[in-house]
Amino acid sequence: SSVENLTPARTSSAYESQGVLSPDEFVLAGDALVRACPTWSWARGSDEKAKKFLPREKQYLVTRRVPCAKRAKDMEAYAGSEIALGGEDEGWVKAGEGRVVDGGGGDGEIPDIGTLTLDDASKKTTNDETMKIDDIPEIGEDFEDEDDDAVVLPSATEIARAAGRVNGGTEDDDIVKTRTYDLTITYDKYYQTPRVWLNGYDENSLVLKPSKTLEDVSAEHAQKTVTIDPHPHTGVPSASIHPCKHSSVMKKLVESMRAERGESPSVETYMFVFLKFIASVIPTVEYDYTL
Amino acid sequence: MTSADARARALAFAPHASAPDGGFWARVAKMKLSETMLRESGISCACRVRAANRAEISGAHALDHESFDGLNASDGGDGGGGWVARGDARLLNTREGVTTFDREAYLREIGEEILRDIESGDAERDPSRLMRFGMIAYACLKSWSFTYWFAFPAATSAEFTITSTSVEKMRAEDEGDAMRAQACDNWIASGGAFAWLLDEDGASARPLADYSNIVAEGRRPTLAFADTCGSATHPGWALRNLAVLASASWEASELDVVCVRTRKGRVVPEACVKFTMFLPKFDKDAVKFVGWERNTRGKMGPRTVDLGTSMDPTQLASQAV
Repeated sequence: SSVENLTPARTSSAYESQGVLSPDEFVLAGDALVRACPTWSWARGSDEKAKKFLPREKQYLVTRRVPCAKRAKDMEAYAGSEIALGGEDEGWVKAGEGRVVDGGGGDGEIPDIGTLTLDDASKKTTNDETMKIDDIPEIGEDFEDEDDDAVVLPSATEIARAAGRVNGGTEDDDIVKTRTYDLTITYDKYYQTPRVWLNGYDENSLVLKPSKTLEDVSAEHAQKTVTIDPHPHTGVPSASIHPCKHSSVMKKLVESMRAERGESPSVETYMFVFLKFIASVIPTVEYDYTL
Repeated sequence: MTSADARARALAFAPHASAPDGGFWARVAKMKLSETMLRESGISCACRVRAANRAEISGAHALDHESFDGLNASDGGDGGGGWVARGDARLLNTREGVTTFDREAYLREIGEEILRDIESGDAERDPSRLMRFGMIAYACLKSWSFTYWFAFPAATSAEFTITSTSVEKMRAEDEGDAMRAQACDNWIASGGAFAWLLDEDGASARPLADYSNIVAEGRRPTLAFADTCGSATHPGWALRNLAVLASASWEASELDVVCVRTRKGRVVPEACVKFTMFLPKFDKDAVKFVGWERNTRGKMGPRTVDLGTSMDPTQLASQAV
């Protein structure tokens, strides 16, 4: 953005005092992530969109084809609802504590509200899209099958499974159809934090519309913190978790880690803490982030 | 081999899956509009391939906004555990063009390149040549919908029936399996090709071109390859052309195979499967090629993706608040 272009890149370290990262620290934290979790890697992106304040080979982090088997609302239905945080953290939630409630009582309302809003949101976004999908004239004609005995047929598998019997040697019980995501982490120079982008594929590996991504965001965040913007390195409209609250949340998390351990976590651990926090926003997207 | 033969049954392969992302389609649209225009001739493109990292989902051939930028072999690496497969894309002018395209000739054209690379030894030196692919696509720039069809050619013939012992999961408790997995992990971490050999003891990984040396030393090599398929019961598609190479170049009739998969990006024994495959002699004169991708209904046919709501400037403008 133009604001971002006019903002000078941070040079001093302030991840402890403000929860933000300099570009150099982003690279350090990203290197640590790639070392510990080989499913993450650095991407160089295109020349024209390369950020000068980052090394040419380390423009953003990417992990591909991360499964997301359930929609967030289904997860919330059994894991218990989230608790919305007030004050400085307004707009963020503490994940999965609804089930700890003793007696239920007043807290019983929270899941209902959460589920309702998401349902409304997904109705709003999907209604016209569902019609759109039906509008696409699928090429209905089936083409002649290849003469090939050595192929595992996905459809044969499903039919065999439905019939509850083994279909010769070509059944495959293990593979399930699931949504997958490519996750990328860019450096947002304006907010001075990492920023997570989601590009999804449906159960058939077809590109998922960014708005459908809302179904995989926890109810609280789907409303407030997920936006669809052009990806800074690909230019493609993508769902992104807006970074406006990242630094205040990260500052809190770093503070609580310091209180717990008696010493400050190193900047290398920033990305792990950050990704753990992002997991509360997209609880069903199973990316790696553990040391 | 007698007892093994008795247990052998026809081996079936899980097909490759394509996963072009939104960035790829944005590039396709731009190319059609301002670069290739009405030309339908081939454009070289590349995709990234990784070993399956989960038991429940298979890997896919990922295409993105960089796919036409001449990815280097190391770009697929993503820092280890990824490879680049090269291919050819045809951007057709009409939707009908996709259905009437001479797919058989196109598949044969790419497949024969693969066979030539096997014969010349180039495929042994650079196994990624066995993964060459093709794609035909029609970009409707009015509605921002894309109709496309991928081909992952595998050479075979009516007589070339590969059989195998039962597909077995490797086990962490098995010393040999643990050692083999470690050797494979080292090979991948060092940036090795997507297919390689394990020496008889399983302790060291060597390039495919070492096959005859290992055999001449009186040892039994194991073929290992990064398998995009995560199934516990089947190997992935890439093994088909590797099997042709083994039969045609090495004249192998029996070969131990490890399908290398990962968990959290590292090769671990319990992610991998192994078996012994039995190969008939590959008869080049009887060759045919298969490998057109199935559509979302599991039938032969192109796929269509509609990105109008997220990419079409007109639709985006009308939605803007």
